[in-house]
Amino acid sequence: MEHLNKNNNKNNIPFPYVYYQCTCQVVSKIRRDIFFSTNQFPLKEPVESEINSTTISHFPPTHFNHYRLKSIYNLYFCPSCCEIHCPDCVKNDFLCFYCPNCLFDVPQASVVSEQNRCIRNCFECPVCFNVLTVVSQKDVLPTSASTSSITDEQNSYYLACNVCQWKSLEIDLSFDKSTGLYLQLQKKESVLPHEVEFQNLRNYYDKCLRSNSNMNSINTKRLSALFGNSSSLLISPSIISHIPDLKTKLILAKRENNQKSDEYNKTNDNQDSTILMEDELEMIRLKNLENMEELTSLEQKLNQPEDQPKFLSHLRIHRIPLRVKLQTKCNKCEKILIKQEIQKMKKPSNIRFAIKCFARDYIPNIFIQQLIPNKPLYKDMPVQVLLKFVNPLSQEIQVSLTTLPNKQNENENKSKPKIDTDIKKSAPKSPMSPIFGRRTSSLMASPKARKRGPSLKISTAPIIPTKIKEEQYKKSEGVSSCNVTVLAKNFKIPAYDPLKEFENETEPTEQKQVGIFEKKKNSVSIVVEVRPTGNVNDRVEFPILVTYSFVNDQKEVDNETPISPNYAELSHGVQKFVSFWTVIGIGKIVEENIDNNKDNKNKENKNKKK
Amino acid sequence: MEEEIIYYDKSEYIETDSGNKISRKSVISVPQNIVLGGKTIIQQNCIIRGDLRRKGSGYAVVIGIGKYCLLGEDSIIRPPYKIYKGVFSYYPMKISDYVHIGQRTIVEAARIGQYVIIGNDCVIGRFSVIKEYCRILDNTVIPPNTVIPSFSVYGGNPGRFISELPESSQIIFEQKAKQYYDRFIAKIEEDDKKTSN
Ligand SMILES: [Zn+2]
Ligand SMILES: [Zn+2]
Ligand SMILES: [Zn+2]
Ligand SMILES: [Zn+2]
Repeated sequence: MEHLNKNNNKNNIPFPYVYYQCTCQVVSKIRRDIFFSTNQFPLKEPVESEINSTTISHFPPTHFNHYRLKSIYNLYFCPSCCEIHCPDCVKNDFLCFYCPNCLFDVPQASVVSEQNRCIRNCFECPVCFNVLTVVSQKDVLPTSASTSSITDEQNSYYLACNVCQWKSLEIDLSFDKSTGLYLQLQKKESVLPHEVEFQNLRNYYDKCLRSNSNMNSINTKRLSALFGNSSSLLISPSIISHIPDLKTKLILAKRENNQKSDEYNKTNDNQDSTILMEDELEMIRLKNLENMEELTSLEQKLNQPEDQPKFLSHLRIHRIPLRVKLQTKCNKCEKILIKQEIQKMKKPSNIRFAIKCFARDYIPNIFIQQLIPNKPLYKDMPVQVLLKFVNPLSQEIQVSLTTLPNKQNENENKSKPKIDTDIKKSAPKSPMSPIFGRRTSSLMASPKARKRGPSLKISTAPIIPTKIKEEQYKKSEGVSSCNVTVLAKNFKIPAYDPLKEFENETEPTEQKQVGIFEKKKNSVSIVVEVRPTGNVNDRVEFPILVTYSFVNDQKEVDNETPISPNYAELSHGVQKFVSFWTVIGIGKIVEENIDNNKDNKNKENKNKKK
Repeated sequence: MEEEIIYYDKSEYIETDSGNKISRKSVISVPQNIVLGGKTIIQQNCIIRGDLRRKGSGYAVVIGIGKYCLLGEDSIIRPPYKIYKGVFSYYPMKISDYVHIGQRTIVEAARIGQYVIIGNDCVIGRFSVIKEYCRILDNTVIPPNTVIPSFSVYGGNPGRFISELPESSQIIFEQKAKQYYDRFIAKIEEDDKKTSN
């Protein structure tokens, strides 16, 4: 009972829902299985070819990883691998850098030189970190005789915060012009101690570099001897030899250090003494402090790490840090899945996608259409769930559904879960008929299977795991709280036709298949009968394995059209199978005789009090 | 699953030819200065200040609102103002398609892009610009002149960047906005039924 509650806590997806299991979950489960059968580190990656609809069918989502399930909107689909991907199993690349305030795109080259900050007129408040606005001194003064006397030339500008009313005048900062503030500020910033120090160091090493040009020929053995046990201990000679630039720099640094060390240290000494003086002055000031509000907060100090000022008056304004746009790639084949259209040096305000491979445009979209009856769920009271499958593809698809085996009898189930070992052994060959070969259940199977010993050939025979795994699965097994019956296990969904989208519904004349509620354009609604078998407050949720197949009937594969899903690898007329697990949650079991949740909750509380 | 239907009192709402549903209990000052895109819902006690405009005669578009928008109960839409070169003046506001504005929220933005969801009890400061695909959490105060880039979630007081939205937000927001309109259905009074029968 204890672990059951734990699982319920972990899995708190609000009802009703249809969630999907990403392929990467199967991959990680296979890795874990390999580990349990071999006990070897590092974890072995499954071979790519092993991830197919058959292997996927062996790994239904367990209650352990329900929190890893995704809604279809958060999933991607790689058209060349024919695989579902989620944000956890894609690669991200920088696409462009931009300022979140002025929205201008910043070229990659100047991103580095400008310290990842906006080079336009965007500054953040040093006190509350909101955006500062330029205020003209002229506008602020009351309209009196004095205002009119200020001509445009005399006018000055300052930055003000709209949130905390901080003004740059508080740190004696004002500007002559309202444009090009960064350039005006740069002059003032360039005399700051840390900037001066950086410039000095830079000039120093630049000089070192320039004065040496024929040191490249030095061999690595001598180099390592040279560096022996002094600086750069961590850099191995072989690495140095591969980076010619670094090699020269190191040599130069070393040589220059020996020759000119006195020269540079001198300036350091001077600075040390001034810092000491400043420290003392600061201490005196702190001792005589009357108003705590003059001091900076930790957050404010960390926002200015160069000197971490103690007083508000020592804060400086900072340019706004840039944000980045990412593009998303398949982690297997590097195909770009999501890419925004970027117009260089323009405001990236209009969002258009150059490439978008959302799963919802490729895999059947599943919705819970209706519950019949739409009432609270009682134990052993069957409900009909109408599941609507929508085909987003421009081809007809064949869908086949598989559910986990139902409990025959509750008592029987508790002692010994129902297992279908025979089916498991004869691993399904055609993905079209994914025979239920759930390995989780096979773990509790006959001792025969266990004796076969570990095997690594995942694609052919499932690995027989060790005892550790067995126990893990047993725990997850007990939570199944409903029996599920799907009558229409195989059905076809017509292709999506954008031209028909606004046409009126035409009721198909063909006779109805058993278990199919209705067919509309590119969607099919099926009836799933669910009988809750668990206890009161158990979550009623069940996995369904969806396998869909289609034939690429596009005679010419047109790579240029991003709108229609393009299965590049598929040649004309080849049937392709794709499988994925979904979990459908419809609600919690409530106690009988009680019709609404409020009463139920009251009852619960009463029970707790007892 | 289809979400629950929101019934409204048929006598309370006016439905325009383009499908706008406007509560009679809302306050819309100088409607001639306001443009609605169609299928937009304006709920009760919502105040839209079409009267606050730059000096001049005749009508001008002061507030433009796109299609499939929702102005929640008790929300206030007020054009932004500022003193420019010594002259106090109001400036027009543009709200794009698929924008939901929560209950009791005050909006003084300059522009709100498409697919934006603003929570309840928010203040959207003067001349702030919200780009496409954004979400403003409940109880957020966006300071004046703030620019909110696309795919951002903002929250807090003052409103700060919280997280990024997934790229698929457009589809979700569009569905949400359309579904809300479809779910917003007039409740036919039983008396009406009787008379029609
Ligand atoms: Zn994944
Ligand atoms: Zn900027
Ligand atoms: Zn501030
Ligand atoms: Zn791929």
